[in-house]
This record gives sequence, C-alpha cells and structure tokens, in this order.
Amino acid sequence: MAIIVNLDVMLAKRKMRLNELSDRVGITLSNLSILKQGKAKAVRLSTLDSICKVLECQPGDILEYRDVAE
Amino acid sequence: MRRLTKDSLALILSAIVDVLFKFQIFLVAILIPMVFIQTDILVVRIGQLAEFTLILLILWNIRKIFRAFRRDTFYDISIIKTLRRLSVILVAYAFVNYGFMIMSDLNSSAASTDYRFVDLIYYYVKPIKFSLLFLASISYLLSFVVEEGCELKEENSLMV
Repeated sequence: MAIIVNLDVMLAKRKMRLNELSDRVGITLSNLSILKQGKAKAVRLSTLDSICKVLECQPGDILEYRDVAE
Repeated sequence: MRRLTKDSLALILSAIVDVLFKFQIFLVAILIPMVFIQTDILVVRIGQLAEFTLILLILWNIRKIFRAFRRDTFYDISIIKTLRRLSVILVAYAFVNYGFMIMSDLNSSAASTDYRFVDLIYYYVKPIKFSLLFLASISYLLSFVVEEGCELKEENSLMV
C-alpha cells in the first residue's frame, strides 16, 4: 500500500514503548501492532486523534504517502 | 410467549440435524451388507446406497453450517466451501433421484405402448426435484453472501 505508517519512528522519537502508548491511548496492543505493521485497512479519526494527542504530533507525522512505483 | 433467539434456534436446528445425521449413519450401515446379501436386486440396492450416502453428505454439511452458526463462526472460509459443496451434493442428489425415478417410472409403464408426447413430458419432467435444485442455487448464492461477509469481517477486524 502507498500509505506508510511511521508509528514506530514517532515512538522512537518520543522514547515511548507500544505498551505505554496502548495504555495511554486506550487501544489494545494487538490493534496498535496491526497499525504499526501497516496491516490496518482503516484508521478511525478518533484513534488518530488520541494517538496524536499522546505523541504530541500531527497526523502527517504518523501517516505518509509514498508512490508505489518509486 | 418467549421470542425465539438466534442462539436457541441454532441449538434446536443443530440438535435436530445431529439426530437425523446419526440416524442416517445407521441407515447406511444397515444398507451396506444388503448390497452383498441381496445380489438379485443389486442395482436397486446400489442406487439406494448412493441416495442414502448423498443424504448423509447433505446432512453432514448442514450440520457443519448449523454448528458454525451456533458457535458464531459463520463468517468463515470453511463455511463458504461447505455451502458450495452442499450445493454440488444437492444437484448430484437431484440427478441420482431423477435417474432412479425415470427408471422405475419407465419400468412400470413398459407394458403400455400407446405413448403420447404429453406422456413423455410427464414421465421425464415429473421426477425432477426442482426444490432441490432451487435449494442448491440458494446455497450457492448464500456462499457469495458469506464470502462478502468474511471480507467485511476481516476489514472490520483490521480497522483500528
């Protein structure tokens, strides 16, 4: 897929672990893992909102569009 | 009066099919030695055995579907396969049944030589079990519905 999830990059920048994010955002670890691995088919705006709030970042910092042909 | 819930309906249907399935196993088990004992009516016995075995397979597949329904695992790839297999078996059963009905009808009317076109239509169309063919097509159609449901379920589970 052309949409890349940079959640691991943001987590590394904030020196936060996935478990902690899961606790603070209120999303299960398995769901966050799906998102991190780029397997998610859809992301709720509310989920994105809470992740951005906890990581103090913009949605564009987590999601990135990259052309497949590149 | 209490309303029939999905769970209780699934339980009742599953129990009924379970009993029918076990009874059918018993019937097939009785019929198998008959094929070897009554060799004078071998064709009839083999036909009955084929019919009973197909009914057994139909019940086995329906049992699988009802069990999945009861366990809430209806939207599964195995159910798609089961529904498609069921439709094929239903068509096969309709064909086998048609063949034997035709044979018995023509045998019983062999003495009559005064055939008319209407009689031929009657003899050849009457034994077709359209209900089974409709059921088979509905079962095949349902497999596509379940396929769609599986895709939606997967999509839903991958929604964060």
